[in-house]
Amino acid sequence: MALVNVTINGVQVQAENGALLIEVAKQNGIEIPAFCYYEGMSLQAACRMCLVEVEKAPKLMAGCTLPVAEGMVVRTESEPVVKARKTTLEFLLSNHPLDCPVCDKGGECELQDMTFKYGVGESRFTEIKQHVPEKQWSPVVFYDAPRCILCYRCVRVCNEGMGVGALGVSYRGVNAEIIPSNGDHLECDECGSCIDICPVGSLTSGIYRYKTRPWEMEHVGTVCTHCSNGCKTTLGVRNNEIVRGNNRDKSGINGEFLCVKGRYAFDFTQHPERLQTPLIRNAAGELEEASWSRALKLVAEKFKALAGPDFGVIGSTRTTNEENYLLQKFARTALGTASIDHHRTGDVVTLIDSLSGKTGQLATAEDLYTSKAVLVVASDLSQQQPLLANKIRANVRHHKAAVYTVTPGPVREDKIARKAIRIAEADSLAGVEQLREALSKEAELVIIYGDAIQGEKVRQLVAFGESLGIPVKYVALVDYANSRGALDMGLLPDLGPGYHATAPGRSLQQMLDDPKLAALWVVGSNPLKGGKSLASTNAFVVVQDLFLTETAQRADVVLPAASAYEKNGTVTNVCGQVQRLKKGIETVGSKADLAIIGLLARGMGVNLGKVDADAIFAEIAASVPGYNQLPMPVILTGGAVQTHPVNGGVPPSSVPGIIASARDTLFTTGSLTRYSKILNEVLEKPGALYS
Amino acid sequence: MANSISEILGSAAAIAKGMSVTLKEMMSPTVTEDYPDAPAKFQERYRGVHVLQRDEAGLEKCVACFLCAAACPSNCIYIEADENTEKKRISGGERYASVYNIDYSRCIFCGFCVEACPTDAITHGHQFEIASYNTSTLIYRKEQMLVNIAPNVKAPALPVETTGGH
Amino acid sequence: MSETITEPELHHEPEAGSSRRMTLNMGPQHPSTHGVLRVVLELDGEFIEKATPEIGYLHTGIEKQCEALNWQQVITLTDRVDYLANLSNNLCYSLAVEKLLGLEIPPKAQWLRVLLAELTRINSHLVWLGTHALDMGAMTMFFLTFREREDLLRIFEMFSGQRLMTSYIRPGGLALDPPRGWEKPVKAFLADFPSKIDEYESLLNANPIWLRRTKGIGILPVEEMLEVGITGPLIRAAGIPMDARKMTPYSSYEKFDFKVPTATENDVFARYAVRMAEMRESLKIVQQALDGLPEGPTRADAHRVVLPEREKMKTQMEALIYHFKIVTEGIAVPEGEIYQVVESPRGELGYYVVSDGSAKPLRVHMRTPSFANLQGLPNLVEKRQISDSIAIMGSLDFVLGDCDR
Repeated sequence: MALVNVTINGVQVQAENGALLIEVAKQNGIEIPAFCYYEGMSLQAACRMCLVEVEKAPKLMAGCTLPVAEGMVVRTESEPVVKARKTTLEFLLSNHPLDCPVCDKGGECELQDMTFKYGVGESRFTEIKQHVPEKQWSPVVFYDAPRCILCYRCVRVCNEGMGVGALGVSYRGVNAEIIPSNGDHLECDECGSCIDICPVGSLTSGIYRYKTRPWEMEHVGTVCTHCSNGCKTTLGVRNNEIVRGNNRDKSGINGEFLCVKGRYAFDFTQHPERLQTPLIRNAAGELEEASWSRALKLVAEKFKALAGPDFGVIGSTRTTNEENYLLQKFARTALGTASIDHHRTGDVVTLIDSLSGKTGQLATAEDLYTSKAVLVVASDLSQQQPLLANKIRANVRHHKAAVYTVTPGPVREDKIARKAIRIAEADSLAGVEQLREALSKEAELVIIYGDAIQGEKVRQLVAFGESLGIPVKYVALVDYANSRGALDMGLLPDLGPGYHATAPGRSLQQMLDDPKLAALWVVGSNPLKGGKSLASTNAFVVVQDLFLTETAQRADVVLPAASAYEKNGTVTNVCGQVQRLKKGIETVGSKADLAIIGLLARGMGVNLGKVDADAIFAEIAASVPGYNQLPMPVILTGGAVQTHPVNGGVPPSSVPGIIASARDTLFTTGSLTRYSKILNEVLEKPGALYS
Repeated sequence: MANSISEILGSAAAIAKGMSVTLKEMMSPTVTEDYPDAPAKFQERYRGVHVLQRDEAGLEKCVACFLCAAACPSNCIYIEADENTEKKRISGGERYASVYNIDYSRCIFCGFCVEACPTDAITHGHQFEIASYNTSTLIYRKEQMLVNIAPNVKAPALPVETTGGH
Repeated sequence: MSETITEPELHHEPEAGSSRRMTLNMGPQHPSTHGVLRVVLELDGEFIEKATPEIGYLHTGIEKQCEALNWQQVITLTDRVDYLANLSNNLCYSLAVEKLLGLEIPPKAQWLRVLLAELTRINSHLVWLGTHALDMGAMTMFFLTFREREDLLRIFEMFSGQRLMTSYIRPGGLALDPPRGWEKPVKAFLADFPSKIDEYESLLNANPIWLRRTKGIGILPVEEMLEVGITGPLIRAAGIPMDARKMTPYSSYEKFDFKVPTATENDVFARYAVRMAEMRESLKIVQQALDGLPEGPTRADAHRVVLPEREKMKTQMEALIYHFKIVTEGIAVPEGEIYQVVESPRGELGYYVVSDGSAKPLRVHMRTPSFANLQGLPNLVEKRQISDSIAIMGSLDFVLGDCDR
């Protein structure tokens, strides 16, 4: 694009021809205030706050819709502009209720900020204000019409950002207000983006409502523990209680995007059924409360006695990389077993094997936003991978990317897809083949595939990608917050950390089915979910979990564990991006899994070195291929860094049925969400398309 | 002899002079106060222990906006907010303070909270005798600071909520 | 009357091998130090060979604490620097912040500030006079001065709600408008007080003990005083008419007619005389402030700095927003640094304030007169008797909170 010279407030700057004036000003450190203009959303020009004076223009112009041109002379602080802003604010406030003391937005309200910065000191309009009662649209969304300044941000974020389009504007003039899709209530993703994006306190959150104030909270930036997308979420913590989750600082790979789980489903940490003390099965066969020292002593003694090849270890898809690494190291060295596994939800292993010898073919979340074309195979992204779906929607909106879907049923991406193939999951590859011609014309491609593509099919898909003759990147979808990390850290019966072959052991199912199993140690997992049972009736079972799950009910000893919001460490998201967890709240009674493993090792007299998240991450960085040479400053400051796992060259054993996604929806992710009160209240129809 | 007479007279004069001062002082009004036998006197603006006010309907004026806590230089105000419902209406606004504590072992009686309050809910009373052997008793809960409902006002539908305090 | 009283032997000749030298700790808990000051005295009998003031017993970290509070909240800390000159400290800090903000303070607020600052001076001098005289055995003075001081404290309470921790002068004006009927006690005080000063002087000026203990005691060369930074009544009693109200007028002091009393003797009595004259001058200033009080608001017209009127805050949206933002986020003071001086009862009080443009001060340093004036103590008391040191310390009129901060 050609550069043009623009003069803003007497300073000559260069800008791309056709760039929006408001953006050009911002890049040069000049603020043009605006309510309705929102980066990444379509233009609205509704608020009139961004009026600027442009030479040779007869009237003030809206800076948010004005493309710059050669020789343009703009003044943003001249007297008419300042006066226009004051007038705009006066009008906005003329029917704004005197709600600041009760309004949740107070203290982080853009209308307050703008008035403080640009407004008049005195009100001229003190007529009686028109009152409209507040409405509740859903368990988590409240709307107060008189506070609304009609900037249309919520309408646009719902329609464009989420692809839901549940909000609109109705009536005219002073009566104009935002209305939900179903007249009086919302049927949508309940993501809460509209609440977050609202510049005033018109849309408020049902759970944060009237609880506290922004300056009263501690804001902890950590990573959401629900799905595998690894969204950065900033927890508002007051009195050791998480009060809200959002990401207004737009940090992390997700920017400000969060789905319903990231924004609301942190309340499981406060669930009354949270385990707070260890449980030991007594002589009567019942679990009874015990002290930590007694429980740890018992487990350490038993582990020492039962260590050997018949010892089974099941790891977690939610615990940190450090915990996973330490667990497998402990199991393989001190417990002398190769039977280590976890709930596998996507075939990453075969993908990495098929790509061995090649570099740069694993896509990041950012690639989905920048790639010219995206192919979605056998996955309902909007339901299961909300951030990835959001990235693709933004890509279509901003870069006109080509999207192709191959799915068994209708998905939301169909609406934006160039071509949507409806085909049974088993035949997905045939569906992909139908797109060969179209795909080979694209400049580049990212292929996203679900768990229907596994084993040999992954190799076929990669071969298909190779044959297109264009740069292709891949994402193997997995389900949970650290599913990818569990694989990377070697919670597998045949592969150690970094996908390097080790002596083979039992897989998860084989452990459950083996009547000879002497002991089973389940860390943060629930393999007995759904009525499954353990074949070995005599096995000594130890479970570390937050709640008394089905598996925990079978256990001989239950050790209460801390959730991801209660510990430090790192997790790896679906695209292999490592991010850092930051402890938001302290636990009551429970301990982090890392600490529990360390204490058990000490009880058994095993030296695992320094058991501390940072020390173990340093060990991972030093010893696990793919995790070495990660730029630590980026990770430490809360950034995301993609890992580049290298296969050890050993083809993974491919057992059918061992990899199975839980097929969660936006409102469920296994055991944690069962204990989220909010999530269960808002539960919408899974798979709703809102078209 | 004359010597001793003049000595006596001189002494008497000195005593008389001294006594006249005493007598004069006896007649003039006292400048000291009779506290604690009589109540201490205060100016109208005296900043004593806070009083939480109610409105004409007997509802609490405090809407738990947290401005007092923000203004407080010694961080002695602790609030927990909650929502008024149709059934349980505590304050006039949408929200009310379910917990409102002032830690008088920290409070410096600067009056910033009173200035900050947008609803005139918190004011300074003239009570000042709060010394205690036990500092934990210096944390005053909302119920201790709230004014009684005026006798001519019908009480709100629900009794004053009692919180456990913190 | 033939009885002979044998005077006790006051001076024993030292026995061989023994010494009359000793080290004596005066303070930190000693009535004459008026606070917690410790002076380590090296004595040769009754004579002080060496005096080392040990300060810091009242160090409260107020300067550092200022950095943790926002611009308005710091006012409550300025109250607590000098318990006898709260309003002077309020004023000095407010003037500094106002200069950084470039605020114009309405004349009524300026006049009231002058009035209160001068009443503060009288209040402080009354406490000084009462305790100084008490140290020298004139107990009655203490009762008399505290009687009058009570009137002043009532006036302060009437204005601000507190007798000592006033927090009444704020950046941008005054915390509240003056209360109803405030003129009455001020006028009564003005009418009464001159006769009270006469009463004090009639008790002291002809008192031989007072004169013997103050005249010719505690003389320090003027050069040395200037070298250590002694200001206020002390330097004026040495003949130098140094007064911030005249030299760098603030808060419209240039519009008031008053004299700067000086003396040349430079002894304890001269300092007493100067302070007594100052109280009379202060009365004149208060009278002028009362008579010429302009009409108008008491707070600057600066809606981003000064809280809006309560009535407006409750009825106007803009005012409510300004109120909310000022209370919760504080005021943004432009980047810069400033050194502001006022004449406190004890001398030059300076606030050095640095702003980085945020809602909290980057640095607040107080140049307090007590600290500087105390620097003269060693040279003033050395080679003098212990009893003189009591008179000299009293004449310095330091407040340890002011010194240690």
